[in-house]
Amino acid sequence: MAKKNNDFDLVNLPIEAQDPSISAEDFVPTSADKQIHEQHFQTKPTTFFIDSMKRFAKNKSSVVAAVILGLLLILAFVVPAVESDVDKSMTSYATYLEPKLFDSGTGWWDGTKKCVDIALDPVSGLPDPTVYKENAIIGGKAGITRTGRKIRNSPNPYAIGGDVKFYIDRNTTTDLAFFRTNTFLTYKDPSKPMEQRQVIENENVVFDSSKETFGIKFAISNLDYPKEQYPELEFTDFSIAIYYNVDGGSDPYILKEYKKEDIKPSSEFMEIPDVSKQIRDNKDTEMTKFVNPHIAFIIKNQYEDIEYSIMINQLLFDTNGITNNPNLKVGLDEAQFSDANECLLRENKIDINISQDKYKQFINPTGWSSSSFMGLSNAVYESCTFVYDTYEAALGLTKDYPLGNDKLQSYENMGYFKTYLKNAGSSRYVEGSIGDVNRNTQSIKLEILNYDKCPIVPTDPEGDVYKIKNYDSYGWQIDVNILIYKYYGYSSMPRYIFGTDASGHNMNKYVFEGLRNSLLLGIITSAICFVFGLLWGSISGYFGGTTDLVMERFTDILSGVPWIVVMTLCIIKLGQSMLVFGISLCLTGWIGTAATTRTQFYRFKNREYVFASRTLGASDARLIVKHILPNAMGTIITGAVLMIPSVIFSEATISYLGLGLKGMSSLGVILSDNQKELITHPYLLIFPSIIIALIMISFNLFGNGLRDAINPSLKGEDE
Amino acid sequence: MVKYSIKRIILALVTAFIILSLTFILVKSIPLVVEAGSTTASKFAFFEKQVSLGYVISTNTPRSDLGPLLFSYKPQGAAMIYYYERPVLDQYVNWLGNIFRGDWGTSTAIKMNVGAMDIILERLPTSLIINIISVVISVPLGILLGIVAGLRKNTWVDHLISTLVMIFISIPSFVIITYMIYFFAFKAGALPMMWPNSNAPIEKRLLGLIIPVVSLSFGSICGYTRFVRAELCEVMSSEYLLLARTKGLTKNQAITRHALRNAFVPILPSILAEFIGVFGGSMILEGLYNIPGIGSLYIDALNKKDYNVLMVDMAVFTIIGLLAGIVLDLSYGFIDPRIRMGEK
Repeated sequence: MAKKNNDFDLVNLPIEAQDPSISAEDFVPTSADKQIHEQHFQTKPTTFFIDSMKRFAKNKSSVVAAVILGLLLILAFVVPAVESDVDKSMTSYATYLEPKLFDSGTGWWDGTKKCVDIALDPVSGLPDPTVYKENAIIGGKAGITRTGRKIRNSPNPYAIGGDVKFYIDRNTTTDLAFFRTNTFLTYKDPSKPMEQRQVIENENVVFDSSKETFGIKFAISNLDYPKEQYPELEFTDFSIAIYYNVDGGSDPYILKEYKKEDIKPSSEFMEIPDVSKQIRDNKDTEMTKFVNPHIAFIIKNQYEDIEYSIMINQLLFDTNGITNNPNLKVGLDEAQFSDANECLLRENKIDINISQDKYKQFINPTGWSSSSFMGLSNAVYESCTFVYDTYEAALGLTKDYPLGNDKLQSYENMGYFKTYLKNAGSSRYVEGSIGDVNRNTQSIKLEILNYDKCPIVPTDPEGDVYKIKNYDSYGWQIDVNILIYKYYGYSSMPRYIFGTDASGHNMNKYVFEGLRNSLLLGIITSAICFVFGLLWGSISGYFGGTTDLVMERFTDILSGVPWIVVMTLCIIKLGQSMLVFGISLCLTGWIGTAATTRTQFYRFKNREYVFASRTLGASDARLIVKHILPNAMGTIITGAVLMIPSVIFSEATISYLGLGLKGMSSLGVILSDNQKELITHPYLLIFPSIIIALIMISFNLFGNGLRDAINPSLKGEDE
Repeated sequence: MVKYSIKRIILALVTAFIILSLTFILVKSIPLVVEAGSTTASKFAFFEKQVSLGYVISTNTPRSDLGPLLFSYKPQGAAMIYYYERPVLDQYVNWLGNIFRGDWGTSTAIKMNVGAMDIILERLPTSLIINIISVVISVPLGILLGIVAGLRKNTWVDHLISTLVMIFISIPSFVIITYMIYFFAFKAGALPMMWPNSNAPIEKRLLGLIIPVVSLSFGSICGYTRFVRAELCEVMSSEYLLLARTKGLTKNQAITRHALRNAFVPILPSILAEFIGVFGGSMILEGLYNIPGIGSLYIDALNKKDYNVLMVDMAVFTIIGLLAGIVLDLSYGFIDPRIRMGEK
């Protein structure tokens, strides 16, 4: 017999091995004297949710997301409460302050911005003094780099030449687009010198073509622009017209039409030498009188995907034919232009009280306006580049600030300075107080005592002399150099780590306020949808049959409506507000929860434990609430959590399109408001977009992690 | 299957009818607004058209019982005409008739006196071009990335792709578009700042496509990657794939013959639905990049209170949504015989 390969085959072992020497002692019971108890579980009993949380904790990315989410939640409620707003009366100063974390001049996150290609005032050698302050330029005059002559397309007091670009945008809806004199020929008293003329209301100017005439001479420079360089510059037929008043409205009277082919280069003038003759030649009308006329260039909207533009280089009027209508003559003289930059400055009413004499004559000038768009093209200016401290510029030293006596009195009461007065006829300053100033006081001398707190910046340590201005029964003023931030009660220059926006909001506070509102909207909307969806889904899923069928058809139809349509209808009917937005989201938002709940109910309602409970006499409500719902809850809750970011997302998107909330800040509203600042102040968009990206990512990661934890069988699956 | 298909289509038609009717009644209960900038002659033409369509009543004497006066006009050599709005339900009945005759109403602001449907049809090709290019790029790319991530599950490739997908799917598209315009168009100057018009040179127009197409593709690439990865992961751990391997197929054979085929059952219908979706326009993209498509038309119409155009645009979006739903549901049944949803 072949030897089996089995060590435990005792039968086939050799005889001597079959007699193992085992004694009785080998069989002593080990725990004969011990008392044996039932052992308690070493581990704690676990519930479904604790188990889920354990699974959740293992998912690192979700935990990180949850921490970030928690942090953002805390910040959203703490920051708006803790962070102070810009002082209400200072908001007009504190606009567009760049983000500042470090001291200015350190180079990064320091509240400065680089100003590139700014027009240079040739007289003072400083960049555009109407906009930029010398003391806020980092490095002073030495910090300015000249960059030579540049071409710009927006009007500026320090630029010259260019063309008025009058164009019709492809999105414009009106049939006609005109470029016409603005306040032209509204009645101004012609007997007064130019500077004192005021527009007189309810006085008509009438141009009677049977009695008088004038000439129009203009140059169009479309042909001067090389086509390959400016492909978007398409020109079209245009007309010269007179707009005149009829029954409160304005109608155009076409003087002459010009074909595209008629346009000559700007070196050659095109003209209508005699307007009245032109009107007589137009056989089909008997118009002779024009009430409150405006001269206009007109383009017809062709509704094509093209931006039609006319570049007007010069426009001159020959007013020799007007003999007995001084107002019309003055109006025409004022309206003509040979420098497009200057023409548009008149319209924009930029402060033209500057060194260049050529603007001084336009105190109350006749501007031009356009029904579509007008702009400047190809004006020339000297440019420079520098780094500019926005805080110093806005809140720092301001020269010749008019300070009233009330303010001075309060400063004196606080002991900021000592006052000396000089009366008329006296040659010495006598110690006194602000209250002593009377009609005879010529000037006061202030000796600053508290340099830290007093907003007045002295130039002379002995005390500066200030002339009393505008003395009347209400009070008086002096012009002082002050620090704006001290004036508004700040002891040091404020620092806004995320800057301020156009309306002087502290972005740090504003954005977190927006985040808080977005979150509240998301949570409340989701909660309402959750409750309603749960109810709907439970009823539909539990009862099944006809109830289910009817309810299902209803949701089928409702879910076919795109939410943007629901949103739009709500906005149209109810207006734009937080409430309307919430309502419109709730109208269709619950369908998802309802569908999930219904499926879960179908899954659990025929289980044995439900049957068992039913046979024991449990009511429908008890079955739903006590037996089915707890099992279905995990999946449903995950859906509700994932709904919050989608609500925030929708709100932000809709607000970004300008259709969303009105009068409240939310992330979308903030982004939407600052959308147009992207090119000029990108920081206004960077911060809120980082926040919204962060909240969306962490919400999604958190929600997915939660779903994986609660329902491990769905792991990795989406939707 | 046939029964189910018919049921599904009828349900969609009913839905469309209900939505359109509701939209009409809700919108028409707002007083009619005609753009103030238009001339009296074009307003007259507009109201005459409305009278012939049965939405407005014209009388020669002012009446107080017909609600607020919309407009009055005195044609040369004729009596003054006064226009009043008809009751909403009357308008609704007339509207139903008009739709069947193909008249969807007239624009009141966007292009005075031009048919709303004509405006939509004129704007549609622009949206269509962008959407088609974007779908053609994003579907294969999304599927490819999804397959790569799914097959190399839990490796660095998968983690990288999944992280990027999570980031890009979470960041709102308007943020992406805004920053693309800022960096590539404004800072680098490489791309146009806005949609170039139709007479710009061809190379500029091609460059102008980049931002819209890329920004539209981001979302759908991420969507497909996530979807394909999830399906593939599920299939890869299935028992029939184990069987395929045990009976001797190589890994590649098993993946191409069994895993991918099965994974694509739910993916294919959504691709078909995506192709239906090209007829819609992205409101955000078109609004931000000034694209004259039907998405920006929607915002324009809403802002300018041109409710006739808005209604037709809403109808387009609704019908596209419903159509995509039908295609999705029915193609499930055609592609996978196991799923015949009608047969319960």
